[in-house]
Amino acid sequence: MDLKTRQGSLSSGDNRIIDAKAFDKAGDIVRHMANTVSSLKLFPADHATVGRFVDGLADKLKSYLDLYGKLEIGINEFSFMYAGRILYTDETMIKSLPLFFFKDGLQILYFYQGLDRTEIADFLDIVRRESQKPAEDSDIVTALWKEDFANIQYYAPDDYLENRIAAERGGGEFAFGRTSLPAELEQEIIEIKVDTSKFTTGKIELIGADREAIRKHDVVAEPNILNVLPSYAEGTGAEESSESGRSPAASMDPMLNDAEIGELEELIRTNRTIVPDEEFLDLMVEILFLEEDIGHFSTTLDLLLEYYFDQVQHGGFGMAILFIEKITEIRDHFALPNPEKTGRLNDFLKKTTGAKTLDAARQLVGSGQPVAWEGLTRLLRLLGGPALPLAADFYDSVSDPDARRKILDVIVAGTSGDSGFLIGLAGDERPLLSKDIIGLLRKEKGKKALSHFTQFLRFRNKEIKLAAVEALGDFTDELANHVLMGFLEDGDEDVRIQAALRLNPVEEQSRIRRLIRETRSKAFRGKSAREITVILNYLGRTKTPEATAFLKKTLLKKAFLPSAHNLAMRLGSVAGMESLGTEEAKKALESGTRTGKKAVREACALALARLAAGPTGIPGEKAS
Amino acid sequence: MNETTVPSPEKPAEPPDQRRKTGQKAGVELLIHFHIVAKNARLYETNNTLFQEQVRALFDFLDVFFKGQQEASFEVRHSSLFFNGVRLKFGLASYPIFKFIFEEFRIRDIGALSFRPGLTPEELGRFIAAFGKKGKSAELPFDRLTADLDAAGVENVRLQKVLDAETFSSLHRDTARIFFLSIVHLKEAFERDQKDEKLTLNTTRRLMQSIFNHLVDNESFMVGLTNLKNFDDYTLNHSVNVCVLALALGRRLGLSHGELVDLGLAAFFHDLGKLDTPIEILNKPAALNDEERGIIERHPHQGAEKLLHLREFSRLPLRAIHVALEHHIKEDLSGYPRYFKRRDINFFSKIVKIVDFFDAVTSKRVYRADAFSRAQALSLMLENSGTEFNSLILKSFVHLMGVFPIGTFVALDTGELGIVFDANPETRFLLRPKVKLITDAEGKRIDGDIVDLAEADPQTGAFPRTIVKTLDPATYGIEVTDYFLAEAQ
Repeated sequence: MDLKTRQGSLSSGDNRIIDAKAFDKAGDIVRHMANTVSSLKLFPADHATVGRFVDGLADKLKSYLDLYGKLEIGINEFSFMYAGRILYTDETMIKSLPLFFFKDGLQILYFYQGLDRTEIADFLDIVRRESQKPAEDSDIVTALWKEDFANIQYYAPDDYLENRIAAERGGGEFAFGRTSLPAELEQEIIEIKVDTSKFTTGKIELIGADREAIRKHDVVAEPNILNVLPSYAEGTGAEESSESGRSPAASMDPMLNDAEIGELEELIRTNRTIVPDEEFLDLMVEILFLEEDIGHFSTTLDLLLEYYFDQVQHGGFGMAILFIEKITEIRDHFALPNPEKTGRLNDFLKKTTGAKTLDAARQLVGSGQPVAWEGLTRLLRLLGGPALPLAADFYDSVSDPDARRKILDVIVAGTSGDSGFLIGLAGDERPLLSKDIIGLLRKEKGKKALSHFTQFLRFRNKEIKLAAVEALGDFTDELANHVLMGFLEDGDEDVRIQAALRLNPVEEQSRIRRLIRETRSKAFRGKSAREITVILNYLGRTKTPEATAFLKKTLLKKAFLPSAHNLAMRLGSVAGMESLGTEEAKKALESGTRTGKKAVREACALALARLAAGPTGIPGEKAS
Repeated sequence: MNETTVPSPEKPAEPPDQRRKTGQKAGVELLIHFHIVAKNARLYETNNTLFQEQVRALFDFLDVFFKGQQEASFEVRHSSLFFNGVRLKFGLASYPIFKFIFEEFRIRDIGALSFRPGLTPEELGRFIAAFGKKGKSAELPFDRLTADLDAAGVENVRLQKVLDAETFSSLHRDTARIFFLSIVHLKEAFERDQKDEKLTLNTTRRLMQSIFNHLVDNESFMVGLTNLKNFDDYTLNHSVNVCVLALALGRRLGLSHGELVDLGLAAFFHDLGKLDTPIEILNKPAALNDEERGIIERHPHQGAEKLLHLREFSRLPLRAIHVALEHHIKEDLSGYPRYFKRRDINFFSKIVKIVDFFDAVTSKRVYRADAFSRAQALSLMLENSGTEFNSLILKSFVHLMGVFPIGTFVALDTGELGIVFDANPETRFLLRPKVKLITDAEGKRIDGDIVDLAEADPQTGAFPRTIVKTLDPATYGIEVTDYFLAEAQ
């Protein structure tokens, strides 16, 4: 890089001779910049169109800067300038890019060689962000200053700031971009006048004590200060070597050694990693602690409450929990000495754990935004019983298994393992949760858990009922059969079939009789062959004489008029007999092989063959 | 001087991040070498062995560097230092060399300096000797230096004069205006707060940037202005002083721009709570009783609450509330207020605590006729290092202020009296700041020059002037700030 060349192209002000090629290139750049900013307002930053614009701008800037080293763009109210000449104009108040810069007092933008695409993209992002802010929040100069770009610099004179402060002080309208201060305000605000004639008038006579001290040379500097300057020396450079052993960095600073610099840098780093919300809460607790005025105390609590709900609405559940914990802590502290404050804190806690929190959480989850389930479930757990229905609602709406596990943990903890509460959360609209509750009851296996299965008889959701039926199959208690018998009345055939398959073959005469009775009912005639088979099969499994007699009679029964139901009953009784598996049953089946109905004959033959081969499970049906 | 262009080296493009890292490392190392050599050029003849060894070390570094690069160029651009196009960032430890190089460039009107391949150790020695030579004040420093280099046949070190935009003229006036503007703006903010009107925080943020920019360009003058006390209203003047000193210290500590804005804002409003303290208590010309002390000690809490309930609260850095609440809490957590649970105070509060204390005890108040001198204040603070103040931040502050802080009224061994105008960043010269002479040897008042006490007589090597005593300016009716403000007229 030739320094003289660079200087020549930059510093000649408005009188400089304009290089036409440079002017055209600069114009092309600012036009492209304006278009890029427009595209950024229309599309997300990662959109391909934006990417193309940014690439184009980066290429154009690079090409210019490689040639000229630096691009200096002057900014007027509605124009970009180059060497005093208008380069680009946009007088649209809303979208004018020059105006956007100008309004905050930015007068010149400098782009330097070394600028890369990342820096350009960051710059454009700042422009986009600031342009989208409300006017009172937006300040492009502050944003650029904070970002502190290496290769993009700007000039925003203090005059602008002076004008702004004067206008705010004068209560007048602030003219943005204005850099000259009205004379009256200038006089009013700052007038630096020192009467320097006194500097050269008179003589200073030292007082006796000072004269004496100087004569003795007994006070040169404050000893404490010198003590912290270990490497202080006043000499000829030999002390350079006395610093050997210190790092080059530490040797530059006489005050701090390497360890101290490290410690201080760690302090700075830690300061950068502080979580602002946590800090805020900590601070607020201290402010509440210190507050003596109950009115202020309440006002501060109101502010905190707003902040709390803001956290919940925006998914800051961890913070919300911390809020509740900290306020609880300070409430406990105040419990004895200050009942009035305690009362206010209790009110606060009641509000934080009330319906508004639950509604806010429901809205957030419902909005489809990403949810921090770890935090939310911790909050729900903290809120306890009132939060359980919400947790139950969330359970079915969440697809993430890990989140579901966490919600289920909340539910289990919230119901304290009480299956009565647990079953209360099951419902047709919550099939996943209901099935998992069934799973939990199934694991419990006790009579108490079993008693709650009757609840599922009222459910409409087939999946839930099937799950309940399946779980009931695990119980050997008579009560399970009682519930399964209830499911035999279900409107859904699959449920009835599965229930029948899981009925335990216990010798409960009244139930067997009831079933046998029902086989003769009109309703039973409407059942499918498959359902009939599983019911008769169950009768066979009971191995009771009554069931045996009924099955035998049914198998060998000759109907006047052949009907599908009759055939189904006979085939079902074949399955029952096969389940029965006794010698009497085999004889009946052999008789069946000689019956006039081919389907029955074949079924009996197959059943006999299977019996001869050994047990193969429930004949005629497999439990799903 | 040769003005031909050296083409950019053809080498594979380095990723930008890598390029920045490499540039930063090499730039700082070269700066350290250059710093040592340039410092010693003032002390040694060119035939001195130590000087020659250091020139050789600088040359060896450049020689290795040129194996991969076609030039080694420093450039000052908008108060930043660039090395081969990469902006160099200074840390806590490297601040003095950055200050040194800026100062050396400034006094010579240098905008850029580049070393080129082909440079020999002898040529480098000649350059350093010319660079270290002091010129007469009437001469144009850049023109003199380039003429000397031409005469010495230095071809492979190039200089570029500072660009118009980078000139350092009129700085004092602008700096002073910003200082007073800050007081005006804070007054406005306080009045708005009393009237429950919105604060103009965007303006305050801009003001912080301006103060910082003036600190970068003109630190000693800006710090000198903090000798001004009780302008308009004590709390206003004090708050602005605290803000300026906090920003200066924060800059030394290497805080980012974003952090500095927040720190400045926090310092600016740290005493907002005093608006609720009755003026008769604030200005009571006698010791306070327990009740009055209790009222005074409420101001941090009141300040924090005021900030908390500002309508612009969401746009305020949280650390401003920390600072308002914590600036009287000591490092060992004693002081006031006493915390309920917290066991630490915020880093920004630690900074503001130091500068707040310093400015307060160096201010004369109705209840305290004799303020501490700046040096006495630092000494007092060091006695309480670690218990009242964070010892590391305090050390950095002492370094910022110097053994004889800016504004100290001093007697010299020549019989002359003067005011410290600038600290000398070099370790060995911490007792030799730059002093504005205000009397001659007989005590006759003069509007004298600013003399660098570190400048030795080239013939004898002896220092013509040495500080022998710090004096209380009030005893002699000296308004220290007038001397600074006069520079701004």
